[in-house]
Amino acid sequence: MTAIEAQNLVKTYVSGHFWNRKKTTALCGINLKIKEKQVFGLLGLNGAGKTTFIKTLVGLVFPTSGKVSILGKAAGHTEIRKDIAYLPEMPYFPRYLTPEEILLFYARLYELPAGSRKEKVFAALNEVGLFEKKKVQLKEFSKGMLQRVGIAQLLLNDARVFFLDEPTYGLDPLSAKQMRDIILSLKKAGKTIFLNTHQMGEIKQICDRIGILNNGRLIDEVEVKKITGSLETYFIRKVLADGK
Amino acid sequence: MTLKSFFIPVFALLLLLTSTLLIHQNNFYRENYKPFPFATVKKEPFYSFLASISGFRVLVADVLWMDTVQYVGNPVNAGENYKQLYTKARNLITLDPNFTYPYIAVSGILFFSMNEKDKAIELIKYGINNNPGYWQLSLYLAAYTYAKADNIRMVIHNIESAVKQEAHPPMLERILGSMYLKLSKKEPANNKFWTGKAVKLWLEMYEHPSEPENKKYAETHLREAGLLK
Amino acid sequence: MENKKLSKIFAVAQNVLNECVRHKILNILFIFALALIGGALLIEELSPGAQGRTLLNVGYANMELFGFLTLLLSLFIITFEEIEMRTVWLSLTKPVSRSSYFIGKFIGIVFVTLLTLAVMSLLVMSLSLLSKVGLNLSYLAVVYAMALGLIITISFTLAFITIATNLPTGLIFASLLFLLGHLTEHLKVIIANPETSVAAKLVLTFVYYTVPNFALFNLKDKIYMQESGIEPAYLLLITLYALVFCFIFLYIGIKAFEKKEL
Repeated sequence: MTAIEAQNLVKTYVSGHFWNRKKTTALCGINLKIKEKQVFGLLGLNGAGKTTFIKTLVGLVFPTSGKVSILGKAAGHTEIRKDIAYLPEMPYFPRYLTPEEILLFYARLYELPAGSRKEKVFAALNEVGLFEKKKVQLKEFSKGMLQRVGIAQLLLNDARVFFLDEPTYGLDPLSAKQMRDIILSLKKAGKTIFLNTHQMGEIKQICDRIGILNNGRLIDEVEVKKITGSLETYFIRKVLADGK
Repeated sequence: MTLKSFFIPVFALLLLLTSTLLIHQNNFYRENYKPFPFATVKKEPFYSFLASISGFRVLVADVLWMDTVQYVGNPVNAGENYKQLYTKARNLITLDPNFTYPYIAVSGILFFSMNEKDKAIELIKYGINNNPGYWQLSLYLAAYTYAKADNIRMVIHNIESAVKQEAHPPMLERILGSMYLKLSKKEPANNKFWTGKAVKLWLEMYEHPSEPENKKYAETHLREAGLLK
Repeated sequence: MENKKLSKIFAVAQNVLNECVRHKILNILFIFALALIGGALLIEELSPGAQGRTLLNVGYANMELFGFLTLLLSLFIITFEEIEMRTVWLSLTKPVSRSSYFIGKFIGIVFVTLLTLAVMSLLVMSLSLLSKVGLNLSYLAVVYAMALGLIITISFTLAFITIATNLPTGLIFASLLFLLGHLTEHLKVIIANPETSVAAKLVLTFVYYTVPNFALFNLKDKIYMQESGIEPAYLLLITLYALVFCFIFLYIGIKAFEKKEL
């Protein structure tokens, strides 16, 4: 089954006032199919449209034209979100809540049974090493700790599809390794993972396939094992050939 | 646009119109919601107009009352015979015609201290017009009317009734004392009776004063009468 | 059809309530409000013959002013965090519809405002008891009507800040509507004036019926007029009026939020 599908996806942003409207096309006719149980890595320069693409997939942003579907249903549909988990780049949380409170909130939104909610929250916090700080307000947390809370909320629900935007951003080397281990365990568990990252090492370790996004266009799609030589070189060559 | 998304706002707007019209028919609304009387009242001072339309009318009336009290309490203003008192009172009662205490207090000062009998009566009549249920104002009107006609007995009768009310202006007790003395001189045959009433009143004012000035007043008169050393 | 919609709405509301109640700025504002209400005990000394009335009027004015400031600040805090700090992203990628989230936010801010109002009102009642000022059911009616006015304000402020492209613009428009709503009752005089042109009359009549009339909820200026107390029928009618306006503004806000790109 196709887990993630984009058909002629176009996203145009309109900014400015009546007399000075400006259109910026962030995504230009993207066609992509990702099968279930695959780990897909999206590469691109800063401003290529990676975050816009991922936001379109999770329903935070709406396509100007084209279609996006997750597990056969339109992206952004309320029911489909039970089966997805999303980690943005630099996750932020309400400052005066604690990790326990925010995760319990998400658990309620996921419709987890009341009896097992706390158990799942504690298990997730334990997994990311934040159980001891479950009652500390989030305003006291460092960037790395907030990232770990973000990872914890991924593990609450037994999602089928994961969207990760720079998952190791802001993490120290040990935490980054722990994050990679979590992703690998999700991969082993047969989850579909869509990953935005600049970390070439991560891609080689984790991803089955990669795509390269440049100026809003998907210029390449290839299986990782088919790339000979260094991934960085491959990426740079592709981008330069595209005429950046 | 679906049928549902068309009917929902239309229905809501109809319900809004209905509720607004129903409110307009309600007795409480009809009796109490009167717009600012632009035609009859000047917009000066501007704060009165602003207070009336902003929803803090009654609070601003309280502030104006505090200002009036400060004005009366300032000895400098006594020198010019409190010439702004009536204007201040009129601004205040235009803003809040249902603020009953200023009618009583200010009319008393106007009538007994400043000898502006007509203004005092006009003020009380305005108060009665706007507060027909507040019968105490009628008492004061009666007192002023009789005083104007030099019918001191009736004045005393009305002021005695007013002084029995808990929220009477303290100066009314001093006025009553003066009325007793006036009548005791006017009716020599009943001199003892009216003087006795005055002394009883002073003793009460001395032992349970409503304000310090009343105690001073009572003390002075009791000493003059030789009842206090 | 969304499952467990009500549970999710209350989950969002609880989140909003917890966040606002713990926020330092709101706590400072709250303490300031309580101090000003307490200060009424000193102010009333300057108002001989009307001490009880002044105490209550200062109390009412503070309740309304700080109720308004609390809701503005709460909305600013929550929306700023959601949009500028992007805390809403993780919530909206969970199985909760935007309409449920929006209604939950509305209910949360209503809880915060009502909580503030309740504590201030209890303080005013305590001070009145201390000063031996008699209170009757009219007091509750005044506070109830005030609460209705604030709830309408929350609904249109939320709608405006959702529609506006930036937060300050939304707050400014909401404040202008709040001001206009207090002047609405007096438009009737202009409409009734024979010198007003037909076009102006039509426009003003439209404004009169479509802008919330806050004068209807201003019972603190009316209680001294009524010796017999406030009619329950009137309270029911203004409740209906408030509910309809809230529904309209929430409907507009939800439609805007469903189309909003984050």
